[in-house]
Amino acid sequence: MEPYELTVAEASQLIREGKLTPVRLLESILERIDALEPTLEAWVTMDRERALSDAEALTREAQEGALRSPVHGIPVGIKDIYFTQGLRTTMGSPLYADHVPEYDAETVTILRDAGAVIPGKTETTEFAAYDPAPTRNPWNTEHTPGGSSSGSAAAVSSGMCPAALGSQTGGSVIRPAAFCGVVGLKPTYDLISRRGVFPLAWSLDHVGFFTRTVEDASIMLDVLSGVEHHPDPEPPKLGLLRGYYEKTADESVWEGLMDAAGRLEEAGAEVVELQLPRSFEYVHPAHRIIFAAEAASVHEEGFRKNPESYKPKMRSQVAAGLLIPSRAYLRAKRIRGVFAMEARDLLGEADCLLTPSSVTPALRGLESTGDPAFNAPWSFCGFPAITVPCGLTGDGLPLGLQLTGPPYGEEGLLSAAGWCERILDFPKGSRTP
Amino acid sequence: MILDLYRTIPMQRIPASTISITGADLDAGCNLEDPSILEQMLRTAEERYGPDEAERLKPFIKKLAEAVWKVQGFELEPGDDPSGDPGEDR
Repeated sequence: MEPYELTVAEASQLIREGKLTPVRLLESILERIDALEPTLEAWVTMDRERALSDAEALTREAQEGALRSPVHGIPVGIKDIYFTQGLRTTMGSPLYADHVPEYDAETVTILRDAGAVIPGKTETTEFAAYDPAPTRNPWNTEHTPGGSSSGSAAAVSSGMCPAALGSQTGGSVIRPAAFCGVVGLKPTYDLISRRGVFPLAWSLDHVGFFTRTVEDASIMLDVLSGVEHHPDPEPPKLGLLRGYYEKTADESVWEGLMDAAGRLEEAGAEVVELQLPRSFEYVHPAHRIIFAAEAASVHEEGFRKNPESYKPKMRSQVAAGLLIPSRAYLRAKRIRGVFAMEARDLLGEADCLLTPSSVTPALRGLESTGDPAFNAPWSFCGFPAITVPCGLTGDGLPLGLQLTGPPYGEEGLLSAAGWCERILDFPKGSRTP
Repeated sequence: MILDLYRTIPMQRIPASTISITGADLDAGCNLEDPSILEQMLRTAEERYGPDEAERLKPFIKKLAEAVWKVQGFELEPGDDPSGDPGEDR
């Protein structure tokens, strides 16, 4: 097995045992990137020199027995909306093509202090919104990897790094993770600092990340949140949401979920059907209003000075968003409060909610990164969500199941996800396109 | 005495549509209860961006106008969380 194929936990153990050095791991990762990047286009900017220098220092520390954390020497990709000191951060926009921040995002500082190595910045849709990145899906390069965290999902899926940061305002972690057959975790709103992450819609923006296993997601969460979680995988009580989800899902997606739910039930999970609350009907329009109003506010000044520098979808989004009446925005926020309360009540009936991770499998073509409709409700109310790969379509594209837990219920969510992962037994290896 | 009053007077649900201080006054003439919200947004777009750009933006404005129209149909109760920001009750 080549080092690039290792999960975070596996690589960390080998580094701890002195059987792998951070330098050797990084070299393997860089070779993998060199081999696949021309096909996948997952990276915007590489930082080889600093990454190698950091890996050398971390190798010396490891040899002296001074390990900083479970991510000591582990390469982690960073979505290109996270500020990185001295390293270009473009937000996927021509406006910021030469932008070099003077400081690291807080999450980047935490990762560097914990011993992670940052090989470079991963592709994003413009400002983490709609205009697509050039990245291709490792499972089928004719298909989108999803977005907005397109590069991070494709990089983790293909073994170009074992973990990567993303962000989610609608469905930008869960959906690309599902499209690329990896694990994606969007923790509770505000659990992880957003300082130094370029905002899209600040009251919906979440830090999230991609890994190839639930165990790795737990490691990343501990490091980034500063809180230790001790998931204990055991058969969960899953609240299956039919209604809107069943009606909206592509047939292959719903069949995949039903098949997975059946396997989980056979293995000992309790699957109960729950009804979506009344306020759910208003969740998508309210999310759309908050998203558009806050994004327009973030870009108001830049847009008025330089509208032509925005890509077409973002330009329209900002221009239209500036027309939203303030009362509609405030009303949407109050609906969020009601939905959060009702969703919390719903979670009194089960350990977590079970839905498909995406409306469709990865779409053909790169023009659209897919529909975030199945993820947006949980970004809207700020509850933690995770996607676990659960099977393949007839065309060989990955499908994911989305689990949603109560606020700050990450430990229970990871317990359920870890158990589901073990039962569903989706291949964890890196995908070669 | 005050506590007793609170106990004996049943809480009444007041439909948002009956609240007299509406967006017409507060929102520079943009009345959310008026089904012509789309026309109002398009008119504003024309004034701000010109007719060609407003026409180009029409599909986006239409989606947002539909969302605005939809959320105004949700009946909020006086006690509903006034901010709705996640994490506030942490």
